[in-house]
Amino acid sequence: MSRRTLSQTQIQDEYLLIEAAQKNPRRFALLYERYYRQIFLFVYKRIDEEEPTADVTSQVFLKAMQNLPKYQFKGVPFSAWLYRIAINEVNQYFRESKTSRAISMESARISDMMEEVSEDTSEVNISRMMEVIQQLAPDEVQMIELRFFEQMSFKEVADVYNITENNAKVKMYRLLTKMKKLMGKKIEA
Amino acid sequence: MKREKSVSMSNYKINIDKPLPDSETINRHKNFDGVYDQYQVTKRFEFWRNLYRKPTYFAAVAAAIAIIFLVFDTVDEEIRPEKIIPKLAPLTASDPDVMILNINAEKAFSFESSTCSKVQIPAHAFTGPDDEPVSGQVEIRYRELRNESTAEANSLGVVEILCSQKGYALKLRKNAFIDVSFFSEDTTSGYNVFALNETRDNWAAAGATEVLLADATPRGISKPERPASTYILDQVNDQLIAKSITPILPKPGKPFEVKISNHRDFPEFRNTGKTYWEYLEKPGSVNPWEEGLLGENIAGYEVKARKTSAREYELRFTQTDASGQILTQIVFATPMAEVNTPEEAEALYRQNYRAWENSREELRQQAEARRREQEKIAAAEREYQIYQQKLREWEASVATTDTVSRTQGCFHKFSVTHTGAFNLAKEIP
Repeated sequence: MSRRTLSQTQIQDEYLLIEAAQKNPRRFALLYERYYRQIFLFVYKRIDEEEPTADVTSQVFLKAMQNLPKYQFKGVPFSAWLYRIAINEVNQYFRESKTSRAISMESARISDMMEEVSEDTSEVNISRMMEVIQQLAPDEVQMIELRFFEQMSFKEVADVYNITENNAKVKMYRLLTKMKKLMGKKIEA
Repeated sequence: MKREKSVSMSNYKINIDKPLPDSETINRHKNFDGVYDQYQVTKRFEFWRNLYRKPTYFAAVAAAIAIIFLVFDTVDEEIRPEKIIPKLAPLTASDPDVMILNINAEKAFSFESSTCSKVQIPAHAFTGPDDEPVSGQVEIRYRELRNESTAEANSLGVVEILCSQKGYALKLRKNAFIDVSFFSEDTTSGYNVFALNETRDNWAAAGATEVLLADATPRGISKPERPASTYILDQVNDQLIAKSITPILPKPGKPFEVKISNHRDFPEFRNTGKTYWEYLEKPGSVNPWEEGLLGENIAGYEVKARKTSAREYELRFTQTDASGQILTQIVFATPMAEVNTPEEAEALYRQNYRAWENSREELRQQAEARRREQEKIAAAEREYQIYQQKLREWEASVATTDTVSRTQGCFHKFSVTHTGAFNLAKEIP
C-alpha cells in the first residue's frame, strides 16, 4: 500500500468531511489542511517556482471548493480528485505562462523506470532516456511522473484519470513500449 | 550525498534530486481564509456565470422573466382603471371640442373655457386606483355640450370633466369639490345638476346650481365650506342631515329569581321552573324589589309568564288576600338563560351594568360632539348668510354699474364631488 493509499474506513471517514464541506464550505478547511502539502509539492515539481506554485495551489483548492457540490463519492480517495484538478490547473498555467514545464525526479526512481524500459542502466543510457522523455507529449510525461516519480499504484493512477485500473495498465504498457522504441532508435543512432 | 542536476532541453526542464521546499516554506503559503474569500467572491457571480455558460439555463431564466412579465402585465391590466373614453349624454349628435390641460396635481388650478365657463380645481384633488392622492402632472379633459334651445331640451347643456394620469382615469378625492361656473345666456334660476351614471345609463340628482352674474367672479367673496363631519349633505335639498347617534343600551335591572307556574308553556323554561330574571324598567311595569314582591313575600304569589317580544316577558304576580280579593302586579323582565346561581346572576348584572354605563358615557360624548358641531354649523351658517348678503350687494353694484353683463348672461355655478358628465337641467333629463 503506497503512502497515499487509504483504507475503506479512512475513505468513508473522509467522505464525512466532504459531506460536511458540501453543506458548509467553511468546513473545507479540514480537507485543505490535510492535502495542502501534497498538492503544493505536486505542483511545485512541475512548475519549479515557489510563488507561482503557491498561486496554482490556491487555484486548485478554490476550484475544488467551487465544484464540491458536484463531487460524487465513488469510493475513491478525495486526493485523486484533487490531483486531477491540479493537473488541469498546471496545464492551464503552462498554456498561459509559456514557460518550460519541469520534471522532478529522484535518482532511485530513475533506475526503477530504466528497468522497465531497458536492461542497460548505465549513465549513457540514462542520458538517452532523458532525451526520450523530451520527445514525449505532456500527458505521457504526466503518466510517467505519476507512476514512477510520484510512485502511484495503477489503482491510484486510474483514480486520478478516472479510468479503470486495467485501462491504466494498458496505457502504461503502450507508453513504455513507445519509450523502448525511441530508446532503440537512440541506440541505433 | 545526493547529486543535484538540472537538465534543460527543448521541451522539459528536468530536475534530478532537487530538494523540495521544506514545511516552513509550504506553510507560509497556506491561507485557507484567502481561498475562502475568493470562493465567496466567485459565488456571488455564479448565477451570471451559469447564465452565460449554459444556454438552457439562460433560456429558463428568460422564460421565467417573460412569464413574470406577462402575469404582471395581466394583473396590471386588471387593476388598471379604465382608459379615458369621453362619453357625453345623448343630447345631440355633435361632437364638441375637448379642452385638454396638463396641470400640477399638487396645486390648485382654475381655467376658463372658450365658452367663458370657469372651472376651479383644488390642490391634491385627485386620487389613483389605490385611493392615494396622486402627484405630478395630470391631464384634465373638459368639454361642454350646449343646447341650442334650452326651452326645448329643458337643459342648459352638459359639462364633462375627466382627469387622467398617463392615460388612466383618476378619481376626485373624497371631500374635494370641483367648482364649475357654466356660462349661459339663460339667466333664469332653478337649474339642477344631474350626474351621468354610465353603468345605468341614466342621470342622478347631484345638487342645484347657483346663478351668478357673468360680469366677473366677485372679488373678496368666497363661498364658505360647510362642516359635515357629523352631518351628511343632502345635495338635492341643499341641507345637512344629522348622522344617527349610537343608541344607548337599556339600563339593566337588578336580577331576581322566581318560579314560573306556567313554565311548561315555554320550551326555554321546560326543564326548570326557577329562572333568574333581569328587571326591565318600562311603563306599566312595577319594580319587584320596591313593591316587596320578592324575598320572603314571594311565598304568597303565583307568577305566570307571557312572552311579549324576543327577549321580553311579562311576569304577572297574583296574590289572593284574606278577604278573597285578587291582587295582580305586572313586572317586565328578560330571562338570564345562561345563569344558574345567584353569584352568576350578580356577576352578569354587574357586567351589563358596566356596559350600560359605558354606552351612557359614549352617548354623552356624542352629544357633546354634536353640540360642538352645531355651534360650528351655526357659525358656518352665519358666515354663509354674510356671503349671501355680500353676493347680493355685489350683484346690485354690478347691476347699477354695468347692465351689459346682465343682458349677456350669467354663470350657473355648481360643485361636483366626482368627475364625469353633468347635465344642467330643471328636471331630470
